[in-house]
Amino acid sequence: MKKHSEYEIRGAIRRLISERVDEVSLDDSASLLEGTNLDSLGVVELLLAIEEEFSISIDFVAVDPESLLSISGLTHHLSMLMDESNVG
Amino acid sequence: MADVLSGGYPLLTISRELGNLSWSRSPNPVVNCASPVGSDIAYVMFTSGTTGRPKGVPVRTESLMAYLDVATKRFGVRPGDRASHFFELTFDLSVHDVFVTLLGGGTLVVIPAEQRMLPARFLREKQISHWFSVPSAAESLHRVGALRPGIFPHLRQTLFCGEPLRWPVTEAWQAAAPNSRIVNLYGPTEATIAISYYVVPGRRSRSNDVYGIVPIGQVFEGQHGRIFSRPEAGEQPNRGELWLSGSQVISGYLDAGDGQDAFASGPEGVAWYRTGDAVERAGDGLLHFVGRIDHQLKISGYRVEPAEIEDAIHRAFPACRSVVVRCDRGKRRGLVAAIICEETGDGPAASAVREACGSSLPSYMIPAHVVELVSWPVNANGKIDRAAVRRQLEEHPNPDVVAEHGVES
Repeated sequence: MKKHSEYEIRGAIRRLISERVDEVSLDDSASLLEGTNLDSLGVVELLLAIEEEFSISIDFVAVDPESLLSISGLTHHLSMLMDESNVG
Repeated sequence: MADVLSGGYPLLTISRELGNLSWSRSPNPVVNCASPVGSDIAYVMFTSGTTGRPKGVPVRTESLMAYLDVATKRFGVRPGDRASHFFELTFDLSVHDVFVTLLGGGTLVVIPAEQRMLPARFLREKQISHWFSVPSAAESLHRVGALRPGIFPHLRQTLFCGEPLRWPVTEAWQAAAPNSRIVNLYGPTEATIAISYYVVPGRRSRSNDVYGIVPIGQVFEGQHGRIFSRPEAGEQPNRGELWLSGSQVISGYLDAGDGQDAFASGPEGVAWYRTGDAVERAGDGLLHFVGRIDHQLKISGYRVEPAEIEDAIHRAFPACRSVVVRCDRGKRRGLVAAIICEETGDGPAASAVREACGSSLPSYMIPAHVVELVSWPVNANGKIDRAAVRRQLEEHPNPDVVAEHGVES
């Protein structure tokens, strides 16, 4: 698997968000549900797009959904997943 | 809130100022906590109204007791059971969460707001035995592939209410929670939490699958439903608007001027509440939800009258008219406000529209997207064709294209 830097991951997440909302003036730590016009199904669709973008699989049963709700949380989680799959 | 509740109702206002909790009460409150009687109001829920402001739904103690009586018997919990508290307190289904659980001696487990979107981890970690949510929560889990067979072994009862329940997600839930029965509940706030139910059987069949949706079943014992149709106008007698009456059904809104046409007098002087929901009654007597007879939308189970949002936009931007629809396809999902202004291209920024809506409407009623159109698609009667507006917004990814399309049509 290609290893992305946190910088690249954050940039890709921001791009995927900007394709779905009218404007992004979003703090990295802000909740996507409160800081954007996405509702919960909109966030779910965004998460699926992120999985596809990085060819990665998020375990939606085990993960704490709160860690997927901000750009910084998502960046951290994806970075961790990529490290694990590289080791494995 | 105090402005909304004008008209001499006793008020207890709780506000947080400078970090201190302050309490104030309206003059001469009539407080009768000791012995509520049937005609006393147990609670008032505000729901979206077509007049541009919310309607207060006053639910009497008698109605609440009638619901709790049937709900504790049919869907009750016991000491040791762990029931979810999914619904926000502004949603009347939260009354079920709290009272049905505590009356049965169960443990009420409150789900944190951030977990509601994808509640799989919550369900497992907290070993929830009784789950109650809108179908959307299950839909999200199904969409991300989290409803794997057997992942919710602790679950023994699942209730869904507030939105149409689709069969595919129901079957996935059955596999994920093999020890749980599933019950589909139905009921407008005006009929106290829920008034009909359907216990989902092991498999779907031709009789319980109408348009891929699980039936809403039959009304509770002691409550009444009828289908209002006009056979003389060529309508089938088994399909039409669902009317409700009985001890669970309110007889009017808090403000008597609200929604008078929502109540009707039937044969023998019985008062009926007209739900606005279109239903079909199958040969076996089961009721199936088939849609709305008006423009009302549902967002995560909350009722949304587009007229209320359109009114808020018009008040903030008097030179603009809008049509609010719900888009389920394409990249522009959720509530979308299509706007036409006197001067084309002069429309307000999406953020300004959302800000204006946010100042007077709850968050679930703030449009996710705002698109400026040049003209409305109209139907054969010359009225704005809302379905065509929705299709345009769903099918055209670029708002400008929608605007051009509007010129051509």
